Amino acid sequence: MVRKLILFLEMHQPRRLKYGVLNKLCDLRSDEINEVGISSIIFNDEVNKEILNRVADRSYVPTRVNEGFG
Amino acid sequence: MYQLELMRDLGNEGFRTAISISGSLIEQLLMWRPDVIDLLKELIRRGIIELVAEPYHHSLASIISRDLFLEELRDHVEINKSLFGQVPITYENTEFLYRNDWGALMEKAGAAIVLTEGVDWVLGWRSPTYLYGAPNLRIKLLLRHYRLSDDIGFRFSNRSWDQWPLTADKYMAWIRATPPGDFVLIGLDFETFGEHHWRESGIFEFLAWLPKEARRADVTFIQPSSLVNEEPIDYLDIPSTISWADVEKDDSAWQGNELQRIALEHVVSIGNLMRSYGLEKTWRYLLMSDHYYYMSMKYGPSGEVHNYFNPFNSAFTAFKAIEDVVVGITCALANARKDRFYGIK
Repeated sequence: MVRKLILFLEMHQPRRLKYGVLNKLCDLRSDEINEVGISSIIFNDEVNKEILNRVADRSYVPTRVNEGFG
Repeated sequence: MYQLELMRDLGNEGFRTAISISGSLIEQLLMWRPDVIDLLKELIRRGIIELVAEPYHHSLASIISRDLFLEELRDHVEINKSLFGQVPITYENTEFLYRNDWGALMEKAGAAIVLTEGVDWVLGWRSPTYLYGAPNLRIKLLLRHYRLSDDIGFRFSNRSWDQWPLTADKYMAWIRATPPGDFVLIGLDFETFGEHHWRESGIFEFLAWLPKEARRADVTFIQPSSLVNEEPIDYLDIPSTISWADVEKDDSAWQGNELQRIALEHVVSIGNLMRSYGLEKTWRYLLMSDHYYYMSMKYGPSGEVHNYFNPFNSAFTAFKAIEDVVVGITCALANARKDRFYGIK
């Protein structure tokens, strides 16, 4: 009989990619090429922020709803 | 947050858990919800949570290169140490990916215990409820009991399941009745509690009653690190990739089709270029397993799980998203190079 229980939980939120950013990237000026500038173009952090807040505030988060992807 | 608050209360009743918090999530929590970080710190300080190390960006680094995998593991250990004051000795690769050579690298990074999947074809007649060793290594392997894990992770809300509703007392009876062994490892996504299974499903009540029912069943919650000095009952040779994902339990959730393989190959191919422009961090984010998971084209039970998690309409849309980034960044850096040499855009 088993008397010990280990509960492992994987806690992760991806940084989702935005859709259709090719033109924006090609239009970048050289002084705009840095981690912050590129990240703000390619990652959908507004959605990530919203999801994180909703999870943290106890709400159920429908993964697919209104994320604004293609 | 609610889950963590509940765990804080349950800590007084003997509840313990081991959690791997990806660097990606840590960074986002620090940006937007530092209150969650503070709560995590409290739970870690009180010994309710044991931290587990993993590749920092929850990435496919192990598939790409040994050095990158080691760096990702060490970066994650470092943030756990600097932010939470705990140096993990228990490790997992992203989504429980494992094979012998990755076990060796995790040991090199500091692992004493590695969590991975209790895959039937690896175990054969053996049970996942014992501690195993890895050939020629000092690490101990703890194997996830996927049937008991999936009872919570996948079947809990399923009203057509003949065991629905699953209650804490029933579940603890199952744990107790598990054929001979030393422990059961249950492995789940954290969001099982509240997102995969809504509050209305009763999942929080289930969690809240677990410690009480565990006590009644004479079952104790333990942390993986408490087994570090135990002797393995046998050694498991795992030359091919295993994971906890999908029915196949291999790497096909992320590298199972041409789209996934091409996308990863393209991202890897711009690594040196991005590094040379100081974009290493962004590049690492592009190696995150999720981007490739969304490109899966599996059908059946595995396909349903992929679709549930997928914010894109199709595998092709997910593929285009990352291809646009690869082509776009290459384009941007080519323009920057022109600018650098000729002073023009």
